[in-house]
Amino acid sequence: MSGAAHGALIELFNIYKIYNEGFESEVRALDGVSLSISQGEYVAIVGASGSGKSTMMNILGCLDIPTYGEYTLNGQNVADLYDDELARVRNRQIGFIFQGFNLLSGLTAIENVELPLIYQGVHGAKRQQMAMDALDRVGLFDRMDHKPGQMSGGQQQRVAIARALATNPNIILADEPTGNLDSRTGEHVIQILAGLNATGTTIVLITHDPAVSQMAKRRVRIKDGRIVEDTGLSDGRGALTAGGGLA
Amino acid sequence: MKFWQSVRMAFQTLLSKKGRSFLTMLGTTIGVTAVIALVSVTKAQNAANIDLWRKLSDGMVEVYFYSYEWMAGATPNTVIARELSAYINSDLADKAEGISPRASEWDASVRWGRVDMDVREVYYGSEQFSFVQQFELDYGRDLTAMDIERGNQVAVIGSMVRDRLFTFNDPVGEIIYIKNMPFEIVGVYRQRQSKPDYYTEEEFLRWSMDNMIVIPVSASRYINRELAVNQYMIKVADPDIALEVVDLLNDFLATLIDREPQGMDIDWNAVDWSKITGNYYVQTNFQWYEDMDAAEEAQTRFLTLIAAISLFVGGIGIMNIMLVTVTERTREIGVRKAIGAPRRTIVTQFLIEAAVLSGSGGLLGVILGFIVTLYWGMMQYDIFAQPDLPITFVAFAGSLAMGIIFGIYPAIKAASLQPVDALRTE
Repeated sequence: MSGAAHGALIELFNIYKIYNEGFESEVRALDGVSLSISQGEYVAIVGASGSGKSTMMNILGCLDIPTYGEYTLNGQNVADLYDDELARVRNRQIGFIFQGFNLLSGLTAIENVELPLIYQGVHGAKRQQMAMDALDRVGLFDRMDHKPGQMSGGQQQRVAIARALATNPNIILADEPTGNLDSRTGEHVIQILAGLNATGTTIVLITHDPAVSQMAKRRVRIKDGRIVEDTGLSDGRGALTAGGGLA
Repeated sequence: MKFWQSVRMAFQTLLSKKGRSFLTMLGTTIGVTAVIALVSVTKAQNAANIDLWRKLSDGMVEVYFYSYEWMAGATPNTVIARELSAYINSDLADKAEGISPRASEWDASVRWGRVDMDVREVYYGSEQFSFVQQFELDYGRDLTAMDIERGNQVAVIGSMVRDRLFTFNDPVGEIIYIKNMPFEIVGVYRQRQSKPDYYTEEEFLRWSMDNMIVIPVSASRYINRELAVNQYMIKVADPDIALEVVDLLNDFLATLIDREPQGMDIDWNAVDWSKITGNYYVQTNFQWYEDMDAAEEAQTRFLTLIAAISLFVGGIGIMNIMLVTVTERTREIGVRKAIGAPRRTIVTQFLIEAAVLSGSGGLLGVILGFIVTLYWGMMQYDIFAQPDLPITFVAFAGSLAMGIIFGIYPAIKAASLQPVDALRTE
């Protein structure tokens, strides 16, 4: 194992994601990435388009499996799980926030928030209460019967955050959460995320926006499928590339 | 996810695309409508036919002999008739009410004094003629076994003949001339039929059941020397045992008559010449009805097959539209999978949607099928065709099953989408 902290929440070791391996068109979206994230961290993964940060997000979110490498999430090796097992992990451990919100347009706000709880098998009044609590935390308690089409982009993204929150996940994965929002509402969303982190939720944010990544306590920069900067590392590798000292 | 919630959501999804959903349902609707209407109307028609045949047949069995190779010297008519009568009146006494030849002269001229008329039909009967043909005596007596035995020149006349020839009600004892041969009237039958409105007086005279005379079959030689009686009518006690009587008569006649050898390569040495050789058949209207029933059943099966094919085509339409739906909703499927929907849930969701689609089509088909059945029955056959409930159930269940069967492939396709690919599509 690498020198990652013992008992880390997320443990990527030597992860490769290779498309068309062995062909001339071979693409190494992730090229031997190792990363360790502990409970309660607020990490921003930054990089240019095509750097491999989306692949990173997909692997971290168990939406995709690595070609090679080990991924331990909360003590469980998830690199070689099956479809339904991965779905279970996503449902219990991870909350997703997408750039395009990805709410189901036919459902009301509360129904959208209830969806992951339904898949978890939570029933009746309890499920409704949990969904209402989550909407309350993002300040949309009074909008719970609205459909996505009746809400602004910022409100929709807050519903998406509530959906991610509803199951009390260990990690919230946010993929360009402010990408489709104007700067003021974007800031509001970032504030909510910061607030969540303050209460102990691990947040992994993927962005190309420096202003957004500034908010994170730790920044991981990816380029050509490799980590080129990690402000959270104490072995000096991060400092080396970042060109600055770090405690 | 709870089942009814899924059903409700499936309805919502389908309602959001009304035109498309309706067109997809149409295939199933037409199939179910066709199955219900075709089968129900055919069945109602069958039932109406049974009633009609039952009325017409009245428990009559007919024996028909043809193409005799008579043994020299025998008078086959008499021999067979006597044996048959004896069998009917002894062994079959509790099953058959009587036997009478089926032979007659049409439009025979009849004269009494200076009055004459054309009698519609002069029957050559046995002493059981009135049982078989259901005539009742009004005056005098019926034909007797003695009359038949001796070939007496006696006649029992229908009420219309009496009314035409005589000015008085009881002409028993009078002599009438049938085709110029004298016969003594021994009885008069009670009127069986009054004139229906749609007959003119003249038509009624021509067609009335009461415009008849019966004389002993053995006296036929006075009127028609060449007459060969080869048909016999047997009245069965109960129409329901007519078929049983047919079987019994076939068995009995087999002991009397050898089937005439048929075809070119006849082994004449194998023919049993001690028996009368000939051909015959025994039948009842009821039998015709059974044949007809079997034919209609085959017809129903055929129609059902055609309707099932249209249901099948409807199913393919559903599969097609479900595949389109899966493609359209790839992103939704991706989101659901991302937030933790297992394969089973996705499969169920799309299966329910397909079943709701085909089930709605089926339900609409049931309603339309009922309407078409009632309307068609009224207009075409003038009967109250009751929608057949078993076939309605089968058709509806079939439409549901069709939706589920044809929904399987699209549903599995949806569930197999990788969330990362599904989320990437716009």
